[in-house]
Amino acid sequence: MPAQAQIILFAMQSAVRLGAAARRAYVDATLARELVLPLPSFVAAPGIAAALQFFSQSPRMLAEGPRRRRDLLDKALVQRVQLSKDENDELVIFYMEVMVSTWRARDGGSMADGSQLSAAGLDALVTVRQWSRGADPNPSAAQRLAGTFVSIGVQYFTQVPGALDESSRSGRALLALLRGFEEIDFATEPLGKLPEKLFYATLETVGADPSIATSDLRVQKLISATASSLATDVHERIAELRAASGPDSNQEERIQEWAELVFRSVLGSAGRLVAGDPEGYLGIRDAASADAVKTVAGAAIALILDQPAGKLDQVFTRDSLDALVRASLQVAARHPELFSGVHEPALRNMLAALAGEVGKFERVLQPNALPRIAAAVVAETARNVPVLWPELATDPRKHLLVTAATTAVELLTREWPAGRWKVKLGPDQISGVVEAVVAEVAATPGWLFDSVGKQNAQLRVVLEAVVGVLRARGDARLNGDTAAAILRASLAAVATRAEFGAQLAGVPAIASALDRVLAQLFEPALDPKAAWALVRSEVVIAIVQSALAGLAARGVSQAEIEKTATTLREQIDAIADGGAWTLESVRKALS
Amino acid sequence: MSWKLARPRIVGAVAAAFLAACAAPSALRDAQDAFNTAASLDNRERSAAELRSGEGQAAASSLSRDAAYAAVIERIEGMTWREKSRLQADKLLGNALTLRVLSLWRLGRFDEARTAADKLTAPGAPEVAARDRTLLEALPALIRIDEAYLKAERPLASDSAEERTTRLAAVQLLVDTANGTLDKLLAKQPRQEPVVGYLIQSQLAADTSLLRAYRKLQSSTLPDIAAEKTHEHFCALQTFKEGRAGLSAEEDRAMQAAVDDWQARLGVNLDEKPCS
Repeated sequence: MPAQAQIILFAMQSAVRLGAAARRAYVDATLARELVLPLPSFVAAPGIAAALQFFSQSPRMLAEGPRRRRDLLDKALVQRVQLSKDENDELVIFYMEVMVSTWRARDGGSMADGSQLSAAGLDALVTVRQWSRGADPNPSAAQRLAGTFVSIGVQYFTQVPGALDESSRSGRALLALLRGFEEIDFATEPLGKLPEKLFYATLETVGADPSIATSDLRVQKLISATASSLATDVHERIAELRAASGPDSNQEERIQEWAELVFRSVLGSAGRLVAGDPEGYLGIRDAASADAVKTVAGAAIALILDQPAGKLDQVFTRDSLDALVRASLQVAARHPELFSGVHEPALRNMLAALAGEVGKFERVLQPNALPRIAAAVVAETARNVPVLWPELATDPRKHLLVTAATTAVELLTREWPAGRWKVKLGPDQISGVVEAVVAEVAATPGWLFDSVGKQNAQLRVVLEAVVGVLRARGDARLNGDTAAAILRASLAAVATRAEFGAQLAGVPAIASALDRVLAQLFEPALDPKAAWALVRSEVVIAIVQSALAGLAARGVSQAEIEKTATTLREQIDAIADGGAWTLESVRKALS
Repeated sequence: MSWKLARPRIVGAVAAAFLAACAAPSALRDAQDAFNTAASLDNRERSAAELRSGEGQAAASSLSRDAAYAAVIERIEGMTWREKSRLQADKLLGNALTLRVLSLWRLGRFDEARTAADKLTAPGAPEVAARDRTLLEALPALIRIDEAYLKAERPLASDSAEERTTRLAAVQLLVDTANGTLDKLLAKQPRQEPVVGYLIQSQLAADTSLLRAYRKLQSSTLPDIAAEKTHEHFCALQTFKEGRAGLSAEEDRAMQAAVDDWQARLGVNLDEKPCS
């Protein structure tokens, strides 16, 4: 039970804060009040000048209408004789009759009984508020007061001992969350329902995985840092949005919803990593670990919200976001220097570049493809940061793995000229191959740079050639999964034996070898018995892998490739003749 | 001290502090209310129908209007140093001084109004918010429109053709300069901002004086170029009125009646040339 004196002190502080917020709201409202603006001086009553101006523009009126009106107009406008005062008055009456009948014809409005109406209308037309709609720089009175109540609530639970039960898991977690909010002025910062959302997210995450809410101070700091960072991020984004185009509830809700999802993901992923490896994970300095978590949260939210609304909103699910966040946090644990100080924007820039470059291709914008690729790039980066990411924040496009992923996606999604059959890879197959490419390049950066650091096109040349062979040789028996497996096997072969990347008769040796193997397997005139036996995906993949492994062992040359093709031909003929065969026997022959 | 005893004291102390701290903004609110009353009387005095209702009533209205503007000036000039400091700290002083400038203008104290407006727009002056800044920028044009009105309505010293020509040229120049300034200000405003309606009507007020000057001083209608400008200004007001969203039927009718008044006083012939 909190002490009486503390409660009284707290009540005094809170009352003063509330009073200040109410006064500020009163001041804002005073400045924003509408004013009735006085018009400059003018003669209001319609007179002879207006009447003649009107009639002079209407030749029809000079020729038609009441005789007396025509005479007066002829005198004033044609003969240009000065009218007497009575004649002026008479003409003004004719004029007003025309005006009133025009208005009556339009909507029944009349001048005669509309004096009060027009005075009220004039007032309405000159009553002007201080700020343009949506441009009032001050928060509304409701936000000021409601925000102050929230701030007082936060202060109460964090400063009054015993207000929250710190012996319970949820109490500890909530206390950590509220500490993250201590520096935020809810009365002026537009956060919408974010605090409420993060409150429930904390309780639900802790409830779903009790191991997260240990008494470990690091987890509590993690909750505070993430909540504080996301709230600041959300406030800045909403403020920017309002400054640029005025309030927009849909956009603001989108920002809050993504912030909540990222919070849940970071809390869940980081909490589990700490709980699973309390000594190893975030065993770095406290400040650095807080920075790392903040950076990851910021990068994750920027990845989606920096893209146009709707582009990536459907691409990321909670699971795929978790995978990306987990990969990022693991890198953060190994390389905290990448997530703080001058390098703090590096992860954000890298993910933005990836989303921008890879996201241009429609088929990777399917659920999970882009997130899988992003997670692979982030995770593999940790293997060799200086080589894979030589310039960190300055130019993320020089990140080797971003380049590799972009190259692979571009080649795998390219529309090729019509062949006899087009292999079309689905999002899962594309991301599977890209993951393999990223892993290969991370292990062997020579795919993109030679020994003296000069950029080379090895990856593009090899991939393009292999995809070309698959499209030229494949038929209905070559489905997307098989094609993806062959691509992975080809990459592994080149990684194992550099000669596969060398040119043989104008194409990379790997393409030549693959072409000869697939020519035997997908021979259009293949005996039906052999075709039956070889149609299965795992058989095709196993034969390709064995043929490439055999070549890698014996040496890559045109003669060896021909020898491999001949061996395979003999095996196929034996199958066609009805002889006994097993996959193992074929693999053995090819090795 | 127990919570039970402390509670009313805390509430009382905070309420007293709140009321004391709100004294300066309250004084400004009083001045704003007085200004709104004065401006409303000022505008109504010129409402076509009320002008017709009798000279006596118009004169009484004019006296109340002047008294209300004078009260605004007195309230603001009579503020204590402490009140002004408080308004300055709350960024309200600019609003108070803008009310004073506008009141000086409407009382015909043009030089004082101009000097006060210049001080308010000089570096180091109190912060002035959006609408008030627009009004201060419009002030030179608003004064010119008043000057054009005075020139157009003042009797001629002699009935010489030369004096008529000189007077008309002066009115024309004042109206053109004022409308040019207001055109520039209008170009900076979003189309449906309420201040747009005010600035357009100020242009129509200028056009009214010009129309009367041509009739009175040259016995003619407006030259084509001026008639074209008037038509443009009127159509801009019509468009502005039509763009106002969320009006009740009654409000819409009232605004249309005010727009119709402008059409009648300027002789805009929409049958021959509708607004495009």
